[in-house]
Amino acid sequence: MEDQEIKDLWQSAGRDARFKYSEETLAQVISKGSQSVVHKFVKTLKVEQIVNVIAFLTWVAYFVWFGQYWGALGALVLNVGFYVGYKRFINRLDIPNAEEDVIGYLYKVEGLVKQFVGHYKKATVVLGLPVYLLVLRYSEGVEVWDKLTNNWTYILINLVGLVVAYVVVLWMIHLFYGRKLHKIQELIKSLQESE
Amino acid sequence: MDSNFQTFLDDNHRVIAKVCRIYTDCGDDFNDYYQECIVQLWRSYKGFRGESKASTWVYRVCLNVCLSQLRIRKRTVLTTRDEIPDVCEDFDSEREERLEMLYQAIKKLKEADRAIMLLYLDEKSYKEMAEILGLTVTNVGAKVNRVKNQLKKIINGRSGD
Repeated sequence: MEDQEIKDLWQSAGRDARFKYSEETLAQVISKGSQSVVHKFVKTLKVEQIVNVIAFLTWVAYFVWFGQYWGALGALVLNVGFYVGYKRFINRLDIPNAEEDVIGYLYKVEGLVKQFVGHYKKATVVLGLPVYLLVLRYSEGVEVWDKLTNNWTYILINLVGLVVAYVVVLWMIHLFYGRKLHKIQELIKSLQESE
Repeated sequence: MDSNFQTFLDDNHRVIAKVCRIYTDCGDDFNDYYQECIVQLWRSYKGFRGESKASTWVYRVCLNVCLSQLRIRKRTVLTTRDEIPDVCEDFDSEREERLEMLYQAIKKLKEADRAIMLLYLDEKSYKEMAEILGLTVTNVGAKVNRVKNQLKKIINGRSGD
């Protein structure tokens, strides 16, 4: 096939076609909103923000109930800290505008995915230890808790377990988002390559 | 629903469908991409100030959606068979069969190269292509030549099978 023949064939595709969505379908599509992961990132963070507030307030109530007011104050300060931190992070996320040129858009998406992955890695490292200790304390009871503060072999075993858990979680985050990130980077490289 | 937007989609739906078609097979994926393009066009429709040509803007939005490929699968609004865009209809003539062959040949190109080919086949100028993709005109020219030759090789190799 020659150049012009290919072009003619291409341009004949759907030449007389009309937009087929009914008004109702179109309204449904629009009201459902964007389903891209880029928009899901922000939605996920907003949900996390609310879950954090509820969890910390429960913690505050628990301390108040048992008369541990310093604990309640600490939980309250942490609550405010997390809330402000999340709010700032959400505001900082620069959701790319799909009208930008392709290279510019891909760079912004790459930046967004990097920020999001960074957030999860940091959150895993920061929250991993307290969550692990809390689970151990309340699922295994006081004896285990005593061993954890006195018995070095037990401490070592738990430390190794914790490190392995960290590695697995970080690897899973990388597996899920790292591949997407890599694909975007490859696309940018392929578009920008000089011939 | 803004009736102007419906008219706008009527004028530009071929571009949307073609862009989605070169990055997907007809099916759920196609619907995901097609509907995501519509949503993104709607989001920026009111802000479109006409600084660039409407078609340039439509290509940008649709290519950005399809190339970034960061979507959740199978969350589309279900459509009836009558609402499926024409580019996904079964081919029942020789022309449609050849068109399908062309789509398949384009899909053998790298993803970035498919965007170049699409714009070239739709007779966009190098300047417009550069504006859409964010590349220099010189780089676009060189890429078009390379991708064009690659596509011809794929097509001619296939028809010689």
